Amino acid sequence: MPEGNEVEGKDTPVSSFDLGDESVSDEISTGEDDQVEKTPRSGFEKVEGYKPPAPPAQSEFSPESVGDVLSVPDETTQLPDIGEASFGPADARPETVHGADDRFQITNTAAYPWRAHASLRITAADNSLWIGTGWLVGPRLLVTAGHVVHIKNSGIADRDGWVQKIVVMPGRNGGTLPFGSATTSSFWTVTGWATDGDGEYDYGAIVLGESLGDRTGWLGFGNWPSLDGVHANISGYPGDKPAGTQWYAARTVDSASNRKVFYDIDTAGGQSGSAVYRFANGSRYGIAIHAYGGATVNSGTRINQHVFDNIKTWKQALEA
Amino acid sequence: MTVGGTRIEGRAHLADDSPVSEARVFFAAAPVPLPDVATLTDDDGRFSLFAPAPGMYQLVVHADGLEPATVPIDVPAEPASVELDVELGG
Repeated sequence: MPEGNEVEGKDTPVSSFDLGDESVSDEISTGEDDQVEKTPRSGFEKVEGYKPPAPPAQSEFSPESVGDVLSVPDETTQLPDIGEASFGPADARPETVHGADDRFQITNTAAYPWRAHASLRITAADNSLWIGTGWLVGPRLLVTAGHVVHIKNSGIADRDGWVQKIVVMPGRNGGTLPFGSATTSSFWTVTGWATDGDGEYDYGAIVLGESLGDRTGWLGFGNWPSLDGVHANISGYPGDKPAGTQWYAARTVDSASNRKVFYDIDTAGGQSGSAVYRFANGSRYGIAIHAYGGATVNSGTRINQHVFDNIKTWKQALEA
Repeated sequence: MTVGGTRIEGRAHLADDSPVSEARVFFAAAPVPLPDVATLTDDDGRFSLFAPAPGMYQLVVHADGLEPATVPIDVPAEPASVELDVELGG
């Protein structure tokens, strides 16, 4: 475990590799050139042809602190999981895409912020292949869902455990890989997921051997005490669209508990690990890690203080 | 290890039985929230997934250039296994 704010309990980190000593940096980068989308004023990405959802009735929450990486005290209360209350056993109900599908394809994926999102090709322990999504938070670190890097309760013999490898393709657009690809077998997650399979601890990270993030740039991440009325954005690589294409959608956060964020943003299998992000002070900050499709709302693992501390520590450990 | 629920195995192929590899397979509907991942069919078009709870599921298979297939599956309360034959058409 690298130095930093060490986290205990079910947020205790576990990795698939041995760490060396590294140093620290907290900057957000937009990458190596000027292909950077302007920061919108609405809280949603401004994508030509995409009609953003109507703004919420209440005013946008203002962040309490400003910095390259935001962190405010974990004052969230133990609110009931309103979204989960909708998930009771029942007949099959549409999952992940709710009502009209308003996802919009991103084609200029070589531009920031789209190039900070990566298509993932995962080889599980039993050699089965999977697709997922991750997002860069530093030159060599991507955040993703825990079940992307460590499979748990799969019900299939020899599938559970650390995945064998992941091919990371930032800014992929179908067969075009503007930043190439990197293959890695170095991952992080926490005991709450790897040992207990607790969906509230379903987050992890992918460690790259090369600094792809220096070219693509990366997103920030932050912990806010309230997510009421926050505009949430998701871009990722769903399996129901042409292979390897990136799709974006946005909505206002439905509800949040201390460990989960619920939103009616359309997703599909393959988008696990996507950033659920907001705008603050002209930059993009992940507030949750998309993980589950549900009957009425989808959900992600909230970046609360423990999650924030772990991601920050994992990132710092890689920076020379 | 199977811990209740139903193991779903299948094969995606064309009308002439030639396999469809690299197809994306996932649940588009389920009685409980599920991880939002998709598996890829292997060189023989085969895939395996697990339905963890009883109830109605919709499994979908997507492959570029082909019409997607949707397969309803009624998963019983008792542990079981299901074998699917999924034909994809142009």
